[in-house]
Amino acid sequence: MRKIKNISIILFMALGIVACTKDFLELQPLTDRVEDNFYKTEKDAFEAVVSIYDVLQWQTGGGYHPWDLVSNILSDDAFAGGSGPGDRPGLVRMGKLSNFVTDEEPLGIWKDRFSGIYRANLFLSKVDGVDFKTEGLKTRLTAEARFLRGYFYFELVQFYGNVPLILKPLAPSEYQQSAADPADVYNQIASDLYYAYQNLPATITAAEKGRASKWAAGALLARVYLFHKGYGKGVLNITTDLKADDKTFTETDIETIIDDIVENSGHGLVANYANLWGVDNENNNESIFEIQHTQKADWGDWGWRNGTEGNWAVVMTGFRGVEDPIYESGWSFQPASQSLADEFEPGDSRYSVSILDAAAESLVYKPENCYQHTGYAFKKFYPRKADRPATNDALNWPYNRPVIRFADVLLMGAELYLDNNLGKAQDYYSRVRKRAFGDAHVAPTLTNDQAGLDLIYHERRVEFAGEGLRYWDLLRRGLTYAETKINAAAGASPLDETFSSATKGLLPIPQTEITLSGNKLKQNAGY
Amino acid sequence: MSKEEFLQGFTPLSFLKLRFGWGRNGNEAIGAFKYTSLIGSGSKYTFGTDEVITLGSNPVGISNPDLKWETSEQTNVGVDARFLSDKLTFTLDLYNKKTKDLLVVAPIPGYIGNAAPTVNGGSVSNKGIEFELGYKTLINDLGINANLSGAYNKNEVLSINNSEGKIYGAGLAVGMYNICVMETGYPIAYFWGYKTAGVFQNEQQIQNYKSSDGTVIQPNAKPGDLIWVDKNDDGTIDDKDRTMIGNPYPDFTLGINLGLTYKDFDFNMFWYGAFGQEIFKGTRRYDLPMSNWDASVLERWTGEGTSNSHPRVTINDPNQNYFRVSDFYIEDGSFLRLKNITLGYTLPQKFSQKVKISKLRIYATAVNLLTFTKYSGFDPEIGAKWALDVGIDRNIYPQPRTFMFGVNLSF
Repeated sequence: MRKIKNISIILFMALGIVACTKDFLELQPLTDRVEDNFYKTEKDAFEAVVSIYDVLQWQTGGGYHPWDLVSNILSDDAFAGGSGPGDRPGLVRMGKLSNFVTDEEPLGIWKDRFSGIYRANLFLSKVDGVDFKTEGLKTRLTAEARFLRGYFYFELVQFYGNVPLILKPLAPSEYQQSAADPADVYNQIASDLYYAYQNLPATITAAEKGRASKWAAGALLARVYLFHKGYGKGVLNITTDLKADDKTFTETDIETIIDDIVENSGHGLVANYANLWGVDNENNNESIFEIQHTQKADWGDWGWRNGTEGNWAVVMTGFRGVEDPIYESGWSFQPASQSLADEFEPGDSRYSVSILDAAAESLVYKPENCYQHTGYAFKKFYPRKADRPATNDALNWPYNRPVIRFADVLLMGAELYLDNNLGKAQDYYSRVRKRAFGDAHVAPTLTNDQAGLDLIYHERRVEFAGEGLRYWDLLRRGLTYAETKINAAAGASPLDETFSSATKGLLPIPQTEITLSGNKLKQNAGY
Repeated sequence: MSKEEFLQGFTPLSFLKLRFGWGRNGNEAIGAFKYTSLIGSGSKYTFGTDEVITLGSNPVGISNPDLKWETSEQTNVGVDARFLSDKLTFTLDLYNKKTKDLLVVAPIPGYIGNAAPTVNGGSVSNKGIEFELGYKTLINDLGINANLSGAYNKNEVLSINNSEGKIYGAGLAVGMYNICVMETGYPIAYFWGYKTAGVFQNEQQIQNYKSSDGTVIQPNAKPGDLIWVDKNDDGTIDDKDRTMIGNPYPDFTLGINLGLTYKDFDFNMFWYGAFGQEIFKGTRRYDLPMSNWDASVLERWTGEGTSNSHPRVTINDPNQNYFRVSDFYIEDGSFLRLKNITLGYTLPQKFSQKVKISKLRIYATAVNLLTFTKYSGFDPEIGAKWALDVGIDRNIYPQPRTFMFGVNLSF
């Protein structure tokens, strides 16, 4: 009897061991979601896409480097600023294109954008496993992920030139990456943006403002085309035309997209330039894609500054020691240059909306505390008392940032049509001029030559003052042009922010990234 | 072994034992569910004219489904001996410990796009000798209990589970990345940085500083700048010239304990020392040119011949004298510290019994009374934050010198 009992016990134990499945031994946490069991429902998919949008608000991955602020500092529109040369030395070095390869701002700009790309890649790798019940939602979310990936890769290739092209979550054996051929990166951007242009909705409802539309993708694609043509081919020596998979883009293709936006998007110029800015004018009809910010999150964590919903560029823009009923104090970064102030023609309504001219407006403040002080600040994102967040004010300024406006679509169109349809170019150009100078204004005549191009570039500088587009316009016109303009805006120390052609206008690849890539990444020239 | 016949007549030796041991443990003290990644929902964005803050979700880190636990295997051989009727004791241990599949969060490039996973990084060996010598005796009213212990340890990384054979560890928050490195054949977490060869005294010296093919190595340097060693002789100074500039682990540690009793007095002191380790002195905010300096800056280079170790001070620092991980920041961290010293007096029983107290002792103690070290920071006992963040002084809060007076009462 005992023998049978023993045998049965052993048998049951053996069965038990065999019956132990992998699931029994591998536990999943009971109270948290994990990567293995997420990405199943529509709600999961939407949350994943929102996490990609989140990265649009990241401006402080390594120090403080909002996209528009950094772009302004690199250009002839602004200097680095701060309270002194020791406040943000990385930004001061950036203004002179002489960053140390270990500076934190180039590392932060790099890491933030690659986080966005990772989130997009992860979503795209999981999207086929989601159980979609709503018609068209899968396509829309896929298009949004690709739009955002294209957006982040465009900023990366503009700043660094030579970046790794990563289109899926990497396995550990793939962690050491070399830089891709810039032509391939541009073509991937075009592919993502063109897919988005064909698949994103034409209308964004009031509740969805901030989400990408077909027109946003098209407008950004036009911007990429122009930068590829001027800088990609002119400086990075790309020899092929911009391609999205099998489609090669001709100038006419892009002009068609521009016309589509101009005629069918429903977007248009806002009548009064002043009505483009401020909390009451968010997501107006001229804004085609706008980065959203709000103070509602009341973010207080200085250890994770990227977590805020607020706009860091705002506190960075204010003068120091301000005593005024309307304007607040700030950290006095990106002081606008005299060169930019001089660019405006008399009678241009955009001057007083774009530039806070301290002398002209009799502003009381402490210029002695403002490094590289010029007496000018960018007014579009200048902190105002009326909008100041009740608590944690530096982290939660609510001003949105328009990434691309209808005026830009018109001016890009004018630039493209300069060589094959002067009439249309003139029409688009005049609309922007009339909005600035009044309907009675007669715009200068565009010609298909450097003079015509100069008129457009001048217009772009005064139309988009402080919005961060100037530096990229300078670079795509050519390194010599950029150098001439930037050096002309520089002055005696401390305003001696000159251009460095050796760098080709690029930032250094962060040294620690080169090290961690197993030295597969190579440093950019000039560093 | 002292029970063996051949040792029975040998009177000075009262006890002798030989030991041999072998053991294997596992370790998985890294937190739960590290093989996968939790989904966090903090990635919010704002949508709509009503500014609705909307939840976004993403994994908080990269997952590692191949993660397994760490094993360490130790072999040791030892001798215990007692001499002079057990008054003198001696212990000696030799050990060899191998840790395999070391659990470590190895930093990954930022272009991966998320926080690094926990991986089984590699294997490490620790070999060493520990000894202890004790003397305990009673001479008339004086009791002596003395103890000396010491340990010598040699640490070496045996292998690393990646193609490069190197895992880059912690640095300072800004600019000085990857100070501690784990590499095959080296001690774990050694300091990886540039070597310097003094300070340029004049322009001639700068122009004469050439690599073997005649390239001037630091053409943009000015007199007063640090001379960087071009280790691979390629004419430029970059990360390939970084090398081992220090080891945060001591070669040798020492403990001395002396206890004395004399009539109603008792005295005890304990010394601890560690020798041979280096410290990376990351105490100054070098990234901000206007931040405070150590008094040593008064000895900086100000003209030819004024200093060959402390470079000039400027706002811009184009030679990155202060911005690079180099032996300028390495100091000898050896120290000997009087950790504890106590003197006590017990009231003779015949007096304390009168008030029904069985024992009354008053004592005075000092903790960390004396520290002997050449290190110029606040405290040489820096310690480690994790496996690849060892010996980096980020202004550690110093251990205080404490004086205590007290009374022990027993009823």
